[in-house]
Amino acid sequence: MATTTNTNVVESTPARTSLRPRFGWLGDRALATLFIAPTMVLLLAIAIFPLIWSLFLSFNKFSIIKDAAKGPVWIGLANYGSLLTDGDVWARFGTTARFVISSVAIEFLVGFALALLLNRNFKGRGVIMTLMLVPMMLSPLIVALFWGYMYRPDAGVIDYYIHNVFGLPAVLWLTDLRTAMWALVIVDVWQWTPFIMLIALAGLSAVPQYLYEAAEVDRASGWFKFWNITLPLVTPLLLIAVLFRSMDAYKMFDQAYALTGGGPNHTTEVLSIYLYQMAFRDFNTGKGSALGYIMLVVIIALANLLIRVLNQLRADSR
Amino acid sequence: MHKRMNWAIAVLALLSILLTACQPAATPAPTSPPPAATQAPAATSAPAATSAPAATSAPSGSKPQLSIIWFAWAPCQALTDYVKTYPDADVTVRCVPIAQWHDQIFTDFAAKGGADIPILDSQYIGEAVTGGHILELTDWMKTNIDVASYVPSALKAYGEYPPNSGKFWGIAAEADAQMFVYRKDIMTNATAMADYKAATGKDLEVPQTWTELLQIAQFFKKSSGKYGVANGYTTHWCGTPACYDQIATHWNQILWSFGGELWDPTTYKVQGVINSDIGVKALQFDKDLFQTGPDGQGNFQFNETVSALCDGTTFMTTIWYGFGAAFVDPKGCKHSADLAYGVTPGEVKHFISLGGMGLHVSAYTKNKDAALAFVKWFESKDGQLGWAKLGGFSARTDVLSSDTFKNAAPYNPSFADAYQYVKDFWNLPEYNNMLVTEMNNLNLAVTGQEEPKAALDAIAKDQQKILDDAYPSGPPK
Amino acid sequence: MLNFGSRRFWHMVGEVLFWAGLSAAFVFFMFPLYWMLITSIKARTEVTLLPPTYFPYIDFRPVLDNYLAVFTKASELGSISVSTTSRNVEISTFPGILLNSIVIGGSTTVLAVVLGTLAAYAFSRFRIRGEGDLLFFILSTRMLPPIVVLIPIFLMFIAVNLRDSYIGITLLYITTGLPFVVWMMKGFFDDIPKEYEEAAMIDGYSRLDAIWKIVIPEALPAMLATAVFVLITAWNEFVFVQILNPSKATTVPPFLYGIIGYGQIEWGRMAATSVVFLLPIVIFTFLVRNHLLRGVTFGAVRR
Repeated sequence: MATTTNTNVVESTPARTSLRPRFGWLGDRALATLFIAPTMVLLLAIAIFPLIWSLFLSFNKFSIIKDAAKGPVWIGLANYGSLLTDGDVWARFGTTARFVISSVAIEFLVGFALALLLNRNFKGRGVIMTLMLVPMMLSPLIVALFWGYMYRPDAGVIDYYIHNVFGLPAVLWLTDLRTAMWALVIVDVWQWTPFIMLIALAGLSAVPQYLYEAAEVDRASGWFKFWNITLPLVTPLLLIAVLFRSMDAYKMFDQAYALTGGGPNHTTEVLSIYLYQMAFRDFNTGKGSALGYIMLVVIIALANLLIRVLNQLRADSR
Repeated sequence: MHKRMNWAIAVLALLSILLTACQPAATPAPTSPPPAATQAPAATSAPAATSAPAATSAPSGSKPQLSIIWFAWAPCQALTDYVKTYPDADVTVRCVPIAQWHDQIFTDFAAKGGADIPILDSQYIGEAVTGGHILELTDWMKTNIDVASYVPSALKAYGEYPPNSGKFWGIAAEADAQMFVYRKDIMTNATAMADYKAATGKDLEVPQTWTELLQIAQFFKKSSGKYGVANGYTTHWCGTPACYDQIATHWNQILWSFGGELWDPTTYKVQGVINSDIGVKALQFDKDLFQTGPDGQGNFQFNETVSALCDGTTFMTTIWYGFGAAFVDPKGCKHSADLAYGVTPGEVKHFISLGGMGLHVSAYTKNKDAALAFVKWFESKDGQLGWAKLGGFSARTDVLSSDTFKNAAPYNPSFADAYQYVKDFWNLPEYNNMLVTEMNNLNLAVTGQEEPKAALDAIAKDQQKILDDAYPSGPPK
Repeated sequence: MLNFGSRRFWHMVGEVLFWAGLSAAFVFFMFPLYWMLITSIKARTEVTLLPPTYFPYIDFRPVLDNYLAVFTKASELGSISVSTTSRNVEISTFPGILLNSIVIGGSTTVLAVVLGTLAAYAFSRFRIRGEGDLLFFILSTRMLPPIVVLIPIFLMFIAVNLRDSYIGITLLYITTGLPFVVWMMKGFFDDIPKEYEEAAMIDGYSRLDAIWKIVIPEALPAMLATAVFVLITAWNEFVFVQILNPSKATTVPPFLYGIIGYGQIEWGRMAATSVVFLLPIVIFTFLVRNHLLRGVTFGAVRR
C-alpha cells in the first residue's frame, strides 16, 4: 500500500485543523471542467476552427492577393477536380513518396544495425549514445543550411574529398538532377537515423536474456537466434518507429526549403513545398486548402495504421 | 521543497502570461537584419562625410515613421545608411533574402500591412497593380518629379503598367544593368597577348561582341591557368526558383543581341518566337560559354560569381552593376585592384538586360503623405546625387552625366553608356510561373542535361499555356 | 594465428568489424557538428580554404571574430564610402531576436506544460464523456502537416490582428505543444495509483489540495522532461514564424535563413550563429537523455 510514502508527505504539511477541506466546494465535476477547458478551448480555436474554415475555402475560388475585396466564390468540387487530374500534383506525390521511402528505408537499415551494435555494454556507451542522439533534436532548417554549405562543389568539404582525395569527378549535389534528391535524403538520414536507433535499441534491450540462453543451450547459431528470437520481439517497436518516421517524412518542409527550394527542376519538390508555393507564392488560397485536405486524407490513413499497431503493442504489454 | 517548487511553477506561469501579453506588440526590427560580408571603404573614392549616421536632433515622437522593404544586397545596406540623412521622417529599411523578396512583400499585402514603401522588382508590378496593392502615381508625378530628366525607358520599366498605357505606379529606386568585369592585369599580360594573337590572329582586348568574348573565354579555359586564371567566363547560372531571375537575365540579353525575342507583346505569343532558330543558336552559344567556367558553376548565384573573379579563378564575368561595391572592397575581394569594368557586349544587335527596381507606395500605408514626400526627396537631383555618392545608381540623365556620379566608383563611367542599351522582359502578373519554367530549362540546357532545342520548346509550351489560360481572349487592351 | 577455422579468429574479425562500424557511424554523425564548431572559430580566409583544416591550434589559429560578428555589426556590409570600424561596437539585431526565441519558447513551454498537465490529470482521473475520441483527436493533431494548418491560421491571424505579435505565435505554439503534453502526462498519471490522492482526501484534503501537495511534486520530473521537448520544438520551429512573424517578434530560424543574403555568404558567421542557437538544445538533450525515448515517440514507447 502507498501508506509509507503518503505518511511522509502528510507529515511534512501541517495537520488540518478544520473539518472542511480547503477548496472543498470545488467538486470533481467542476475541477474536471476547469482542467480541461483551457486545453479544449485552445485546440478548438486554433486547431479545429481553422481546419473547418480551410475546408470551406477548399470549395471556393479564392486568392487572398487578387480577391481580397471580392471574397470567396463557391465552386464546389472544382478545386479537388483540377488537383486530382493535374499531372503535376501526382508528380509531387511521387516525389514525396520517393523521398519518404528512400529516407525511411535507409534510416531503418542503418538505425537497426546501429542498435544491434550498441546493444552490448562497452566503455563510454552512455556518452556515445547521447551524442548520437543530438542530431535529431536540432532545428531541421539549420541542419539543412549547414549541409548546403558542405555540399557546395567549390567551398564544401564533401566534394573536396570526392574530388581531391578519391580523384572522382566532383558531384554537383544540389544542381544535378540525379543527385539532388539523394542530397536531401542524406540530410534526413543524418538527422533521423538516431530516432530509429533509439527505438530499436529499446526493443532490443527488452528481449529477455533467458531466451538467448535457452537457445545457446540448444547450440543455436547466431543467425538462428537473430531470426527467431530477436526479430519477432523487436518487430512491433520497429514498426512503430517506421510509421512515426514515415508520417514525419511525409510532412517534411524545412530541409527541402533550405537545401534546394524544390529544385532543380522540381526533383525535390515534395508536397509541403508544392503546397507552400501554391498558397504563399501564388496565393491560390482556395486551391491550396483543397490540396491540404487531400494531404490530410493520406496521412490519416497512415495514422490509422499507426494507432492500430500502438494499441496492439499496449495490449501485448498489459 | 516540493511546496516551493509548486509556487515557483505558479509564479512562472503567471510571469509568462504577463510577459506574453504585455510585450510591445510592435517592436519593429531595428535596422535591416545584417546581410553578409564585404566591408566598405573603396580605396579610390574620396567621400565627403555625407552620410553621418548621427541621430537626428528632432524628437522622434514628432516625426512620422516610414518603412521600406528591399532585398538584401549591397545597395540595400547603402540605402539603410542613406535614409538616416532624411530629415523629415524616421525611415527604417528591411533587407530580405532574394528568395523571399516577392513572397514576403505579397504576404504583407495579403495582410493589408507591410512596408510603406515597398521596392518591387519590375516583374512584380503587374501583380501588385491588378491586386490593388500599390498606389497610382501618374498624376502626382507630373508635379513632383522632373520627369523630363529621366531616361524614358527607365521610367516605363520601373513603373508603367499595363505596358504602354501611360499609367505609372512607381519610380526608379535603383537603376541597374549588366556590366562586364575582367582581370585587366591578365588582359594586358604580354605573354597572354602574344599567345592569343598567335592562336587566333586577333588582339587580346575587351570584347565588343559575345562571339569575341566566347573566343577569349575558350582560350583561357584551354590554358589551364598558365596566365593566372584557370577559367574563362562564369556568371550567375543558377536556375532554381530560389534564385529568382538570375540565369534568365543573363541569357535574355544574349538572345536579344543575337536578334531573337522572348515573346511577341502585341499578340502574347511565345510559341515559335522564343524557340526560333535564333533562339536555339543563342542557347547553344550560352552552352558553349558555360563550358569555359569553373566546376560547380551550375548553381552559382551572385555571390559565387563575385567570388570567382575576386578569388582569381575566372577571367571574366557579366553581372549587375549593383554588385560593384563587392568588387571594389579590398578586404572582401582579393583581386580587387586587378579588376576593370566595361560595357556588356552585343552581337548583331546590342541589348543589355535592364536591372534595378522602383519605389512604390503601398495602398495600405498609414503615412501616405510622408511616403510621397520621401519619394520626392529621393528622386530630386540632390537626393539622387547623394545616393550616387553612396554607390547607388540613378536613372536621371543629369545625375548620370555628373562628375559626382562618374567619380563615385570605377565602374560608373561605363554605366551611362550601358544604360542606353537596356531592355526588360515581361512584367505581367503571370510572370512568376513563366519565369520558373524559363529558369529551369535554361539551366538544364547550359549544364548539358537537356538539348537547347528541347529546352526552348519546353519553355515555349509552358509559357504559351500560361498565357492562353490567363488571357483566353487575347492580350488586354 | 590465422587459423580460419578457429572460433577465436572469427571472434577477432567480429570485434574489428564492430569497432569499425561503430567508428564509422560515430564519425558520420558527429562530423557535421564538429565541422560547424570549427568553422565558427576560423578566420574568414580560412573558412573556404582547401584542403580543409581540421584541428584548432594544430592546423589553424582559432579566432573569435565570428562570434563578435554575431553579436555586433562588425561585419555588416557598408556602402562604398562609410567606414565600418564604428560598427564593431554597435550591437546587432541578433541578441534581440535571440531574446524573442527565449521569451516565446519559454512562455510556450510553461503554459503548455501547465495547461496540458491539468488536462491530462483530468483525463486520467475523471471519467470524461467521449474520452477515447478526444484522445484520438488530440493525437491526430500531431499528424497535421504544418503547411496545411498554416493557410487558415494565416487568414485568421490577419483577421484578428495577431500577425507580427508575440501573443499570436505563442498561442499557436502552445496549441501545437498541448497534444504532446496531454498524451505524455496522461500516460504518466495512469501509472500513478489513484490511491495516492484518495488517501489524502480521506485525511481531509480537497481534491485540489491533494493535487497540489501530492500529485504535482510526484509529476514534476516528468513535467520537466516534457517541458524540454516542448521547448525544443518551439525553439526550432520555422514555417509558422516565417509566415506569421517575419519581421517583428521574429525568432532565430528565419533570421538564420536570412543571413544567406546576397553578397559573399559568411559561413563563419553563419556557423557561429548556429552554434549559439544550437547550444541550449544540446545541453537540454543531455539533461533529458533518460527520457528521450519516451519523448520522441509521443509516450508510446518506454523502457
